[in-house]
Formats: sequence, structure tokens, C-alpha cells
Amino acid sequence: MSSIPHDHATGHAVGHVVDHAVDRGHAHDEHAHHPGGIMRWITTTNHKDIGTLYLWFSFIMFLVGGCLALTIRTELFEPGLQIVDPEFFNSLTTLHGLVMIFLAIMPAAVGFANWQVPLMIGAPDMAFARMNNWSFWLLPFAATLLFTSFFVPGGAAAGGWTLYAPLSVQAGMGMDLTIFAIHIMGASSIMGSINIITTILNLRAPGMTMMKMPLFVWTWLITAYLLIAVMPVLAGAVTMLLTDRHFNTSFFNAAGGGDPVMFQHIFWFFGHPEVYIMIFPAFGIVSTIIPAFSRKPLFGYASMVYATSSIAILSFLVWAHHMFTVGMPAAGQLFFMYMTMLIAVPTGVKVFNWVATMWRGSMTFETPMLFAIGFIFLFTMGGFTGLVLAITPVDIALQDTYYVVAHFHYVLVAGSLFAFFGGIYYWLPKWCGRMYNETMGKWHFWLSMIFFNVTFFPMHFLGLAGMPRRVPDYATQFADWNLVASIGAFGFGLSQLLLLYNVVTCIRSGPPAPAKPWEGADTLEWTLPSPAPYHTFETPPVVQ
Amino acid sequence: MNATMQRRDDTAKGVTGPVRDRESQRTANRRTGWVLASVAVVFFVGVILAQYAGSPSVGIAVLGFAILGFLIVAIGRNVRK
Repeated sequence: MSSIPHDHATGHAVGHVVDHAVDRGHAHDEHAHHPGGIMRWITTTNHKDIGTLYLWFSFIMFLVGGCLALTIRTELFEPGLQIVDPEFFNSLTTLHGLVMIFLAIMPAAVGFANWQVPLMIGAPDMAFARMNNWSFWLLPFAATLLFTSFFVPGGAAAGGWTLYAPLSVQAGMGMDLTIFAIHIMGASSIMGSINIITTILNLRAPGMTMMKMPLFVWTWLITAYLLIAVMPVLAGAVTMLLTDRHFNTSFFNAAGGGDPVMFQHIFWFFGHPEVYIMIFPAFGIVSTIIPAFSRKPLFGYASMVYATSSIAILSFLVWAHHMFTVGMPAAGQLFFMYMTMLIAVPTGVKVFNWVATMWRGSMTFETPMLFAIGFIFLFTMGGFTGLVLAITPVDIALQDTYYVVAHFHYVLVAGSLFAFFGGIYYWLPKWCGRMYNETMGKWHFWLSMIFFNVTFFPMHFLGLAGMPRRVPDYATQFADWNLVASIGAFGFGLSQLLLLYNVVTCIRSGPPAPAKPWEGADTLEWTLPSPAPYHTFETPPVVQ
Repeated sequence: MNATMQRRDDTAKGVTGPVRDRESQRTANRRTGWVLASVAVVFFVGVILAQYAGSPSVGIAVLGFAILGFLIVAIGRNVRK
């Protein structure tokens, strides 16, 4: 059994003296005992294979959702109706949201968890390997259902990703396909969460107590608990929508005595924690990258755990800030306003800790670090606009304007997506055993950073000037900033091809990567050779 | 900690090694999995049944506090370790 000293100051395993005898012993027959070709990927129960499947699937969905977004931006390039009719435009905004949330960001986060959680806690695989395979392979079917809805009578769902009643009760057959797709994606998420929680709780290496786990593992544990808590709520809500549509119930149908506002309450009771489900894994990735490239332990490890936990719990107490305009008592408005502002405290703790980690560190600025710093800068901006929107009277003025669109894209694109890009560059050498092109990675970062801001910063101005979201046409006073945003969107979209090219050339012909290409990296996966062997930690390491 | 006393066979089809360790590990995993799945089912059914309570607002509030309680207990029992 190998032995790994533990740095109690960082809470991380320091792996440079691990004995790899067991893993070397398996190196000779890496891929000798499992199917090849397509059957390898269909039948695999290996966490690395499934992580790879999740990441490629989410990248494809990211491109598909991006194409939907570019169609939206093309339509908004100038005032007037250009290329799509208004009904189809509404379907585009709806599907863009659903695809990006449920088929791009969430599967990407699960892909990172599949690859990294077992490696970081010294586990041989996920706790339920077959269920892991099932969790992934549900997703392509859900995606097929969702995209098929474009071709059925009435077209795809067009009520926004929030699926508000009564629009969703009255919509065509595309809504039924969307509801079934959400059920399948929810089942996939719940199974994935059960797997991740069980793996973390039961399969950690001896000596790795909870408060010694890498922060990425902690953030994913909390994310998985959130998923177990809220995905059934969404599933219940859309099930009631389905019965309202086809079985003459009236949960949300006012004509039958139902309450459409109740749908909004239930949806946002899921929807706000969902925001943190998308951002917590990003927090974990950034908390891994920054210490590595600052060559310092993470500042305030315990406070990071407590802050993440606090945000998770508070996220259940703020849902109604999404619906200030539907009408609620002043006491309710004040409660949700103050609770929303309270979330800024633990979030501030996290941002402070990231900056304090960098303070006086021996920093270098490789691509993962650039994306991590970009994340902090832009996520903080998105957080501040969130604080603005938390103020009830301001929110009533800005409700459903482009200011809201700018806010959540700063949080979710520059937040989740930038962190995921950083994570890909950070762990790619471990995953495929080859180094990516650093120059191209930096180009990818700077172009993404510039075009992201060109796209979304003007939306603050548009929102403050009163331009409503989800409209295919607009007054001429909004023309200039819409033109700028559309140009930025195409630049941002094209920049992502650099990532694709870089990853593909890295996998095919990149220079060999050492076992630990990052000097400051100190978690267990860096004790393994690169690429990580197909089976790892079959004999568990001991964290001292 | 007794978590990782196991070996996987080369086909990755199952866990081999000392039967007692393997079985106790699988039993522990199954127990955790079923508890979490049960919680998810209760929340799914609960959000629908809450609509049939005398006042749906009260029903949904009870469910909301139950979910919040689950989260506090689930996270709280781990941060102390």
C-alpha cells in the first residue's frame, strides 16, 4: 500500500512521494481486457471513459446551443424581422437556455466529476459503475427528444426555459417532448448525484477525512446534495404540467381553479439552487487551479467549505427574488431581498480567499490560470449586478430586460464556462498524456475574454434603457448596442473553435506530458503517470 | 477508515478481493444509494401531494422546510468530520 504525506495546512494530499508500484503493474495491459471501437464507449463502466463521454457530449451541445444563440444574435443584428419568424425566435431562446443548462453546463460538470473525483480521493472508480454508464447514455436520448420538438406540429417549446404556466399548459406537442426530455435529464442527474455522493462518502482513501478532501470534491459533494434536493421538485412540477395538459387536472390552470403563480414558486425553488449547481463545480475547479499556479496553499480552506455550504443553504431561501413583479406582501419582498444580499457574504469570502491565495504567491500565467483569473474578475462583476437586481424596486424596473440577460451570462458563461475551460487545460495533460499548445490556449483565453465582454457588457446598457428580453424586434434606439453585441457573439463563438483545434491536436500529436506538468499541483491525481492508467488506485493510497 | 479495502478485476466488471471487505463495501454503497434515492422519491411525490393539502401554500412550505432540513443535515454531518 502506497503512502502519501499530507499537508495539514492545505488540506491537500502532497503526492510527490507516492509509490506507483501497483499502477505500473497495470500499465502493460492498459486496454487489453475491454471491448474496442464503439462498443468500448457504449458498454464502458470506467469512470475515465464515462468522464470523456460526458465532456465530449457537453462540448457538442455547447456548440449546438451556441449555434442557437448565434441565430438569435443574427436576428437581433438590426431592428426589424430578418431571418426567423417570432414564434421560432421564442423557440430558439427557450431551447438555447435548456440546451446550455441541462445538456452543456451540467454534463460538463459531471464529466469533470467522473474524471477527477475518484482520482482526487484515491478511489478505484465510481461506487455504481454500471449506473454511471446508464446516467450518461440517457442524455443523448433526452437531447434527441428536445431537438425533435422542432419538427413536430406547433414547433418546439417557446415559453422560455422557465416553462411558465399558462403558456406551457397551452403550447403544442413540442412541450410534451420537452417535459419528457426534462424527466430523462433529471433522472440522469439524480443517478449521477447518488453515484458521486456515495463515491465520496464511502470510497475515500484511508486517512482522507472530509476536511482533507480537495475543494473540488467538496464543491461537488454539495452540488450533488443540491441536485438530490431540487431535481425531484422540477420533475414534480413538469409532471403536474403534463397532467394539466392531458389528464384534465388543474394544478396550474386558472380556468380550472389552479394557480399559475404556484408553478413559478415551485420552478424557482428548483431554479435558484440550480444556478449554484452550475457554479459550485466551477468554484471547485478555480480553487484547484489558483493554488497550483500561485504555488501556495489555498487560503482559508475551512472557510471555503463553510462558505460553499452557506451558499447552498441560502440558495433555498431566495427563490422569490425571481418573481418580485408577480405581487407579494412587502414583508415577503424585504425577506427575499435581504436573503439575496446575504448570499454576497459567503460569496465574498470565497473571492477574498482566491485573491488572498494569489497574494505574494509565485504566480505564473499559463492558460488555466488565465481562465481562473478571468473567472474571478467576470464572476465578481456578475455577482455585483446580481446585488443590484436583488434590490426590489430596482428589480421591478429591470425585470425581464437585457440587464438580467447580461447578469446571468456574466455568472454562467464567464463563471461556469471559463472555469470549465480552465479545468480542461489544467487536467488535459493528465487525461491524454500530452501537452496542449500554450500559445493557442492563451489566444483562446484573450479572444474569449474580449469577445465575451463585447457581447454581454452592452446588454447592461440595453437593459438600463429598457429593452425587453425575448423579443425578435426592437426600437431603433437599441440598434447600436445590439449590433456590437451581435459582432461580439460571432467573435466569441468562433474563438471556441480554437479550443476544439487545440484539444484535438493535443490528443493526436501533442508533446508528451510529464506526470506533474504543474509545479504547484498537489492533489492525488498528479501522483499518477500521464496519461492516467485505465485502472487507478486499485490498491488505495494512504493519506497521512 | 475502511472505505477502500478492495481490488477490481481486469475487466472492470466487478470487485474482487477479500469477500468480507468487498461485500461490506457494496452493502455500504447500496445503503447510501437507496437512502439518497428514497429522499429523491419523497421530494418528487411530496411536491405533487402538497397540492392536495388543504392549502397548497402550507403543503409546499412543509416540503420546502423538509428539503432545507435534508440539506442542512446532509452537509452539516460532513463538515464536522
